[in-house]
Amino acid sequence: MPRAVIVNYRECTGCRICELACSVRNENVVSPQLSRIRVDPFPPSLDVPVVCVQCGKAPCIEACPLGLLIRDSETRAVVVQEELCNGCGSCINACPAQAIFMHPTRHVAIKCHLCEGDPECVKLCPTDALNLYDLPFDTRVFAKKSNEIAEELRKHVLMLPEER
Amino acid sequence: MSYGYAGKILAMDLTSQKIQKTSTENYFDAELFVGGKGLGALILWRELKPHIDPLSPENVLVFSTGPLTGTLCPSARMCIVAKSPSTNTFCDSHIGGHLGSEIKFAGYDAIIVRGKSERPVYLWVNNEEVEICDAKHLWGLDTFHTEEKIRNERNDPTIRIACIGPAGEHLVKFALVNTERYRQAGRGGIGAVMGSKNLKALAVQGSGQIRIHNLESFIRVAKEAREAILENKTIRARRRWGTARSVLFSSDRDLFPTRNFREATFEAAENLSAEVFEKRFWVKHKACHGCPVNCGKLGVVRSGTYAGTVVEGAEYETASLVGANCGISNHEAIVYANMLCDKLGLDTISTGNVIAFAMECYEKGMLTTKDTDGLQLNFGNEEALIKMIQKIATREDVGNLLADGVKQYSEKVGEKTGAFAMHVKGLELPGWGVRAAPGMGLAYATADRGGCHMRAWTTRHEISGVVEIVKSQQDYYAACDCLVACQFVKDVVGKERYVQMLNAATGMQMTTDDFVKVGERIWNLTRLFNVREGFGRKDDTLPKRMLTEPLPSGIAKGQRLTQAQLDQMLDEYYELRRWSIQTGTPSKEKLRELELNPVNS
Repeated sequence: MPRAVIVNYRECTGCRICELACSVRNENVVSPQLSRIRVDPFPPSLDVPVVCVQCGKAPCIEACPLGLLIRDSETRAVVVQEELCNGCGSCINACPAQAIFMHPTRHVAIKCHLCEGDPECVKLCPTDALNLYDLPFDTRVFAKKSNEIAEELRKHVLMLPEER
Repeated sequence: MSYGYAGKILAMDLTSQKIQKTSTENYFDAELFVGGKGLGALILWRELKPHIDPLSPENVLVFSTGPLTGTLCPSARMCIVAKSPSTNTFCDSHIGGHLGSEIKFAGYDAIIVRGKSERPVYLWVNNEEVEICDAKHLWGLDTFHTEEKIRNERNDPTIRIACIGPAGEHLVKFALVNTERYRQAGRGGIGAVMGSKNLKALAVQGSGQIRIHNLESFIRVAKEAREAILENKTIRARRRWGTARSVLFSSDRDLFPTRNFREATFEAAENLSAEVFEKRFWVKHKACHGCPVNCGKLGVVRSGTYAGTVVEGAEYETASLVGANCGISNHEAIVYANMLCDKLGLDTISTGNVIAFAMECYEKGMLTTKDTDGLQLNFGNEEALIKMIQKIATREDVGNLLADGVKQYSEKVGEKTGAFAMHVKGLELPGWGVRAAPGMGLAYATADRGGCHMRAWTTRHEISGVVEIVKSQQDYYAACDCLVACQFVKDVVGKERYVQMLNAATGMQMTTDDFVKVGERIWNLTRLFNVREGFGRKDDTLPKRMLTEPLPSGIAKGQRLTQAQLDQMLDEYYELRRWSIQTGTPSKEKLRELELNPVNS
């Protein structure tokens, strides 16, 4: 059964505490560019968190030519074996949610690994826009690009006409 | 290696187009001035010759962050510091959003802009890469389009931008600096300073990191601070309703500026309340970088004349000054005016004030439709309000006079109007009346940038004890403004936690007493700056209306702050500060105690 951080988009305030929490937890520094969750801004004032939904049938696992992405048996997260990664970017291109990132200095793929089952971003999100769910279906259904989600928010929350 | 701080200060001269980077460590004594407001005050004190024109190339513009900006410290922002064209005093204008953090991630603690470019330019800062770019194609654009255009040109939606609109370009004295559409460095006309330098925007992309000296203890205190914030009852209300929550409180307490401060309770306050905004307008909460409070409320007008208007607001100050103070009771007109001010680059507080002033002159017959380009400037006329906002932003016709602010405009309309020109030292008053809260009177009279509610804030009804409250808030808030911590959480986080976070982030070993002393030091330094500009006790005063006209209605009906009461408070205040009671100048002993001797000499 998949387990993943699922986003309630309307609740996201754009504070980006998740990015800071993630980089501190995983890299011991404060830096959004080292976070495994990213909040993309869209006009007029929308924010869309981008994070791996741990697809059941995961395109990234299939795309890695070295077979370095595996599903962790305990946390059920899809994890990159970073120490072996050569930074070819195949998984990054394959991800339907664009939720895998290149580490700017180590040049390896980085992605959400659910912090050993207890994601720091979920703990620190002040509005509960991020939640950890066990779900009885393939979470791939949530894997959408941030611009597609922003368009949905424009349509259904702001209820603005398409071009303004 | 720097901790907490990004490590470098970026400086550029737009006249010579020279760009320079210095290490922060060598630039200033961080233990004495910390950053943010403190760093800005130090630079202005060191660099500005007395009596320069704030809109001349000699003024200096400092985009200043603090050692906690961009970290996990809840709600740390930045400020923009310059000599103010509204007041000719020192001015720090604070701004939220994500720009401050982005500047730090790009590697800088502050960006200093000197001189004046011959042509319109914008600054592009992409980590180490710094460029002064042509902005001919941006000049004339509103703030929303300026941001969008820069992001589109650079094909990067995550660039953070501060820019001016037409108001800044036309040197409107209360033009602001805008970021992410709905966040502003609103007060003191900093946008006009940018305009005077032909600087349209600052665009920043940062991908670096901030190192924390003792990460474990920093995170522990940051989490504690966050819990304290989330548990606090007042903040819980603010998270749901934003600052608009204060509308009914203020109107009930006789503090709500109504029809140019003639009254302080508004019969239609219900229409401007948070409950109405929540039911009919807001769709989403918004926060600045790293802030769990999300006081911002994004709304969309669904129907009527203003349908389709999107804006974050109305914030309390806008609802009071553009709303009640202009007699406007339609919340949709207020949010439209709010959006227009953001877009054109105008401070809603000063804009509401100057239009309310013109409305009073019009109703008293001191202005006629001949003077107003045919606009019937009665209180409550929302169409006239909106047309006037547009005219001010481009200094069109009568807008050209209003664009100089209440003080100068009143001098032009006639001496008699001075009694109801609602400003202190040229800065229009914010949304808290003083006749039912004498402490606010002292706060406005002594604030370093003129009529401002962000340096001390007390709605206490009694006069006893307010001098101590105002003094200690001014010191503590000035210290927080060096971090740069948001006003809305500083009392909940508290100085102990700020000091612990500051020490853990930077490796300093400051005590809470040292920290408060930083605030007092900065308060004295900005006072020294203003004294050098010729300000003193004679200028620490209030609009005549507050001192002579009793409140005509509400729970504090009949009440006013008398000149004698203000004088008494000022005597006590100067004495407590050890400033001269005659002139309001800091004493030599006080300056020595605060280690301000070197800057003083």
